[in-house]
Amino acid sequence: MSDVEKMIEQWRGGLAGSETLGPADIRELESHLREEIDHLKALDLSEEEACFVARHRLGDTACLEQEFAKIHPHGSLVSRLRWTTAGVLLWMIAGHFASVISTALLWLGCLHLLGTVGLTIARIVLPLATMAAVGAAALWWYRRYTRARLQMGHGPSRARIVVLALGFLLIVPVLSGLNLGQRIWMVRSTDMAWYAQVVRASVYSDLASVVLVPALLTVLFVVLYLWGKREVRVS
Amino acid sequence: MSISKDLIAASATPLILSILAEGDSYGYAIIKRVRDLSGGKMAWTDGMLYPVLHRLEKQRLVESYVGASETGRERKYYRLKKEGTKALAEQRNQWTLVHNTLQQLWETKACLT
Repeated sequence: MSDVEKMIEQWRGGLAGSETLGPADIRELESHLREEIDHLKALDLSEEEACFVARHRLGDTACLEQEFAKIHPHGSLVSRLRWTTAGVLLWMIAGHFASVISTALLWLGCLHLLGTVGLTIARIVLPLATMAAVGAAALWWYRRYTRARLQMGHGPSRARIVVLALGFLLIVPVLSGLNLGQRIWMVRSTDMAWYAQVVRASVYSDLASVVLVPALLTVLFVVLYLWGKREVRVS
Repeated sequence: MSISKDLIAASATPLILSILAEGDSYGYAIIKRVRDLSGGKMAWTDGMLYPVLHRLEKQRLVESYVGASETGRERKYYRLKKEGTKALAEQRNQWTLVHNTLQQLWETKACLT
């Protein structure tokens, strides 16, 4: 890949995640960038110089996003709402999935192995680990979708989005149904004294997760916010 | 001489509509035409032209279509619509009025000095 193509790819990557610039906008700007580079090279500038000047003349990425946001004021809001909704759904899925796993652990008699403290830690760590795994998968899909969007000029098909949405709608009741089924089976089939012990252990771990998990997520949010601010200042 | 940002922003719409009144054009050519006409004194930030073009398109003063450049690359062209021609006439009246008013004031001042 030539230096010009590498620079253009890097520039495109910087705009790829934009909430206000669509693929058509980026293609139009790229066309302009290429014409300017060709014009500057015809004036005997080197490739590197032409790229630098053309990019500078096109304008700062953050300013471009701000200007485009003025003509698409709802675009960024809709995009943020979309990702917030996806985040809430993913959290619900992660929470129910972790609940199914931890109930299964209890059912398999892991309380004796883990103890109350171990169970508390497991019930906090499991949702966070599941959320991290689901978040990493979502991030991979988002980057793949963004790259595909730019290269092919379109993203996932509407049919694929509908299937994903239906999947989300079904998975939460299925997981919570599974969780409920496990608990009912445990109540019916196991020793009540042991079950009372499990419930008591669950109360402590649930209390800890209600306080610790939101606190950890709040700290993570603040760190990500400050990190984002630092990136904008540096660029 | 540097021109104020407010004046550049205010003149963007009449300049773009006037250039498109000469014939269909595309972003890079519009920027170059403005630069040539002003002798390089009106140097827009190239990327800022496109939000203005898209706003004019949203206002249905211009419309776009995709064509091919001389090198075969995809290029987005813009053409003036009927509503755009009317808007251009209105802009021309407004700017002529401002120009004439200022001209009178500055000529009067020149006589007194």
